[in-house]
Amino acid sequence: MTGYLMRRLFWLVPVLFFVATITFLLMHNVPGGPWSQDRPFPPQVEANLNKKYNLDKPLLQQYVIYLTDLVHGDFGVSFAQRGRPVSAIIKSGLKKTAELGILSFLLAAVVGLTLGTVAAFNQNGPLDYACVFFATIGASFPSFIIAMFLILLFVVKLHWFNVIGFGSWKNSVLPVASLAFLPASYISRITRSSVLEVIRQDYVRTARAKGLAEPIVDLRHVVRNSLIPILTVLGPIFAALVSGSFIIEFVFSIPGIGREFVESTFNRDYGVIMGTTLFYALVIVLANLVVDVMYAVVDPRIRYS
Amino acid sequence: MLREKRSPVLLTGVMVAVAALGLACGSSNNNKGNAANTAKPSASSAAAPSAAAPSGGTATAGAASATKAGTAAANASAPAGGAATGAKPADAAPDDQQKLTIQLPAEPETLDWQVSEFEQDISVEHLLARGLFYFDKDANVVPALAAQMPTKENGGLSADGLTYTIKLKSGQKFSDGNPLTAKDMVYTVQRAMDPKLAGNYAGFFYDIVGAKDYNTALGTKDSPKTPSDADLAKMKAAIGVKAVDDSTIQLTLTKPSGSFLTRLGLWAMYPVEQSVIEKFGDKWTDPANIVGNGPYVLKEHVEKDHLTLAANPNYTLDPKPLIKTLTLRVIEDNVQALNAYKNGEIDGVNVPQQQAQQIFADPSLKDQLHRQPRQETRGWEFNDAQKPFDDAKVRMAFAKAVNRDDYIKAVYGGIGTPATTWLPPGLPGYAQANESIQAFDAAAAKKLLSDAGFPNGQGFPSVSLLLTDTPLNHTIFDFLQKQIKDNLNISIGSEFVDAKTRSSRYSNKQFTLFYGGWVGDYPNADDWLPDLWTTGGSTNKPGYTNPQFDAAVKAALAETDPQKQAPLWSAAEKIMLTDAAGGWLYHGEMVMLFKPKVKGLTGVSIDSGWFGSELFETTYISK
Amino acid sequence: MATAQTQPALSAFAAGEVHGKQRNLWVDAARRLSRNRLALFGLALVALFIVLAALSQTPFGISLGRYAPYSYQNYNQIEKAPSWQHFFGTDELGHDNWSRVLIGLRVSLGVGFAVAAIDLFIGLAVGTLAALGGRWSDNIVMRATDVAYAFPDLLLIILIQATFGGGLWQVIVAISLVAWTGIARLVRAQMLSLRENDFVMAARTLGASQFRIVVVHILPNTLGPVIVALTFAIPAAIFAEAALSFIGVGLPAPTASLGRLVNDGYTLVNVNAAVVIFPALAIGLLMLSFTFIGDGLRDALDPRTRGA
Repeated sequence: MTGYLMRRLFWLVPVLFFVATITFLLMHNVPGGPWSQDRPFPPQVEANLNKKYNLDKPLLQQYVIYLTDLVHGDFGVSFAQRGRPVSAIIKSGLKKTAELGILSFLLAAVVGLTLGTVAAFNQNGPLDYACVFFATIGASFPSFIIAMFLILLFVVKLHWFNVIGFGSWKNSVLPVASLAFLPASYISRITRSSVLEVIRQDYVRTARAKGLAEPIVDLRHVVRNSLIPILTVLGPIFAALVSGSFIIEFVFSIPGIGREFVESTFNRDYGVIMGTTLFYALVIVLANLVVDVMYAVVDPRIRYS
Repeated sequence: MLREKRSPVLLTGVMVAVAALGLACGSSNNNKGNAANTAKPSASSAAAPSAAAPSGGTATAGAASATKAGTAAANASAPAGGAATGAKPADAAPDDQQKLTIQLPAEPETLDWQVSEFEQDISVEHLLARGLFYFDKDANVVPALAAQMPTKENGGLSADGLTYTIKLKSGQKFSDGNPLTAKDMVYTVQRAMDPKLAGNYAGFFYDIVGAKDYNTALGTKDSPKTPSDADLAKMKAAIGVKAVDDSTIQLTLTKPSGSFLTRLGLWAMYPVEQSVIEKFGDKWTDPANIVGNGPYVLKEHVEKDHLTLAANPNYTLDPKPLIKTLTLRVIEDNVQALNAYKNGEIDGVNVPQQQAQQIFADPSLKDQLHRQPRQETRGWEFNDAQKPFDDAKVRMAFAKAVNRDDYIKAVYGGIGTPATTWLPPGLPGYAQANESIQAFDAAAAKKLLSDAGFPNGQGFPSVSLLLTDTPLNHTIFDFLQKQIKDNLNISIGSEFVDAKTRSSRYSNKQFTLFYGGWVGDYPNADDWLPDLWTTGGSTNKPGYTNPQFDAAVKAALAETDPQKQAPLWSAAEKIMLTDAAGGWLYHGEMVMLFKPKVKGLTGVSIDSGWFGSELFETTYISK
Repeated sequence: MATAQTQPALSAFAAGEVHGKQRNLWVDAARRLSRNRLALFGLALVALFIVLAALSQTPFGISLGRYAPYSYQNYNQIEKAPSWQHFFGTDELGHDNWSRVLIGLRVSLGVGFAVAAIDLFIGLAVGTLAALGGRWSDNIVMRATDVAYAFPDLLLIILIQATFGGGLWQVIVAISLVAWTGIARLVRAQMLSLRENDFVMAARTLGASQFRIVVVHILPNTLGPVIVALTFAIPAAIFAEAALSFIGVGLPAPTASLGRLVNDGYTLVNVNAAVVIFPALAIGLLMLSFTFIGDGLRDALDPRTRGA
């Protein structure tokens, strides 16, 4: 397993390199550049800008410059936030996004695990149906629709919470809730089916047959054993939540990394595109690695050698 | 230049995260964060930008305005350091309650005023610094740092119209308390033209002697030049600007211009302090470092979140600002900004087109509504060099086939006014008489099309309208395609692309039909007609050409007396309207809501960023 | 992994065995599915939506949409609440929202099914290659999916649109190119697990060829989870198309997908919520139905839940 992990981590380098190369090629090939606008600058002004930001050099040379700087830990500067270092943008964006993501993750995990477990132990009972109903509804609407209606209710009608920003409890409740809705319902569904599956396993029957009291069987055998498949989905959900949601950040005016990622593409903000894409690639590759390891844990028949 | 505000107008997105999770439900894993998300680039055609600046005029117009009473104009007539301190209105709340929070629809690109071009940047910079001139409530140019408007009569302008000698008011200071002298203004002009700074508006000042040589010293990609530092220093020194003494600055032009003083009032010529720039370099705009001479100083700047400004105790012009703390909250989502306003989180907000009708109809919001026509025109632009739009009859048919009243009502929710002229009302040169040329007339449009060889739209080649993909533009397209279908029996297609793709295709003339327009930088038609529509103009992307029009523009440019210049502009505009160089549909308007406690707002047609931004010092919170 | 020549008799025997088992599995599954009320409800709803979409606009005079979804605009009936005249109200141009939701269903379902089909094809091919092609090909293929996963798809989509123009197929291809990785990883995981299963071992021992083992033994047993995943992939693609519309790189107007309608309606939510509620509800119900069907299928196909 250690060898396998080392090998997978080694693969990070070529994967990130490919992503960087592909992104670099793509972004320089999409139409328009950072200075494109309806009425272009006088050619001279644009020439001065290109010179200042090395955009007048041949593409290959720009690429070599970028990679060299990258290896030295320099991610370049933004155009859309003129001259601001990309590393500073990622850092400040990630801070907000991570706070939001972690809170949402905790909320989703607590709600999802609780609902899923309750539903499984009340299979086909009213509680089960209530939980399943919530889970299905939560997974059926895009987060921005949920956010939109939460805002209509709690901001416009009731004036309980704020809609702008993130930080105090008053303006954090809605973005966290909107973001947590989908993963919460997803976790509850996985939890329910996982717990159900364990309940049916022979060793649980055995435990019951041995005369162990129900709650002990529930806790020791069922919940613990059903956690494993749940863990495999918590990883990617965590990765998705902390890497940012453009929509929630946009709707609630939160300066997170999800917005930087999307807006940089539209602004042809080359440095930020590269920086955020590489960041995403890293998160995604690591999350996939975690999942693959989890597979091996869950199903011993899968061998990594 | 048309500055597009890059605010995503509305967007939303995620979904791929959602989608990813949905897929994962099935079974295994899946985790793409939210990779493809969203964002919306600015609605270019629709959202708008605006710019700054002003006046119908020139030196004499400015002088005339000095007699106007009230508001900021008052200080124009105030002698240096004199009177008119902007007394506090009787109903103003105590100073500790003079706090205001308003929406800024996009994060500024930079706060370096010699570099900026976007509306949201300029609105902040205008509070942080002031130039030699600025604008009164009628958008006339009036003195700010300058003691008076330079004219030939008072010796401020040489007889040949080439040399301006401008006296500064005495006792001017930067916000750090250091004196602001003519030397600082010289440094400012030289910095604005520095090719290595790459200021976006440098081109506005090429009529200063030597300015263009210096700004173009590095050449272009195709013909790069590598001047030595000594050469650059020499070119910099050759710019026609000098400090005669500590309080007198002299500027020399290559040719007389009716709008030069107006342009001197633009943000790119706001003063900067040399020692600050040299000490902090690119970081000089950080809150801890930035120094200006405006009514406010920057206290805090959290990117894409908010900016906090506080009244500048060292502000030397009048009136002094009444609001003590101004918070500009960056909110790109106009729908949520309005919700935040209703929820009391912010005190001022833009009204989105889609919600305008409802807000106009709401009696409880009536006294909170502030409307100000803008110098903005939108409508059809054609590729005049390509079939079928190389035929003026076809272009005019498109121009006449659109019912503007329905258009403003349905698409813009009643914001703005129907347009049939290129020059917006209020701009010197606008002529009522030109309104009829492109007026809506379905029958005439049909006949024109038939005359052009396409009776009832038959045989018309397929054309498509190039637009940025935004909800407002979807509505614009839906409406226009129906008008063209109903009135000309032609089905036009659409091409929705992202903003930068659209701009780049436009710049490269890769379009047949375009929804474009213009937002004025300052109120002189020389910002609207030359270059944009003259033969071979660098921003004339439609490729319109008519020697008569070129001659008419040339005649207007040669006239520096605004009174005589305006009719010449009207005559030139008449030619391009008759040729249907473009077909104009919409004149813009700024519509905002402010809480009832906010008083003293004065709208100006060149307001940039928010209603009342140009003369913001008079705004206050009432008891 | 070349195996010895097949021994026809024995492998035919093995195949026959598995075929019998297969048939039972599918028949069993269908029976179990038919007893799952939620799944039936989902199926019925999807069927209803398909019918609505198909009949929303017809060339025969009678259309369920009643109005032309794009060209009907009534500027005197702007932003009206639902009524008999306009079931779902009207938007800012006086479009009939009912006809637009129906045509949106048609567009969105089309996108969903097309993307699912492309995903299935790519995912099966890549997943099989990874699982059964040996360690190196597994490594390379799976790292390639990592790259595809982390791919700057927004850039790709903008590039596709700039190169080939914005249109329905460009959007479908763009979504598919990003979405196949999930299926590929699933197929691979499933196959890795099956490869070690007793009946595959048995077939291998009996001398079945690698190709035969894959086609006859492994692939069919992979299909269950894949079909379940596809059930979720369809609404996911509908969500993704909505996302693209929101981003501003979606289907060209006037084409109205559900996502486009929701996004355009978002700006009107405080004015006339009907404009956004109905398409949002349609997306929600589609998602809900496919979720029920998917859950039902998974339960039905998983022998371990038999009798549950």
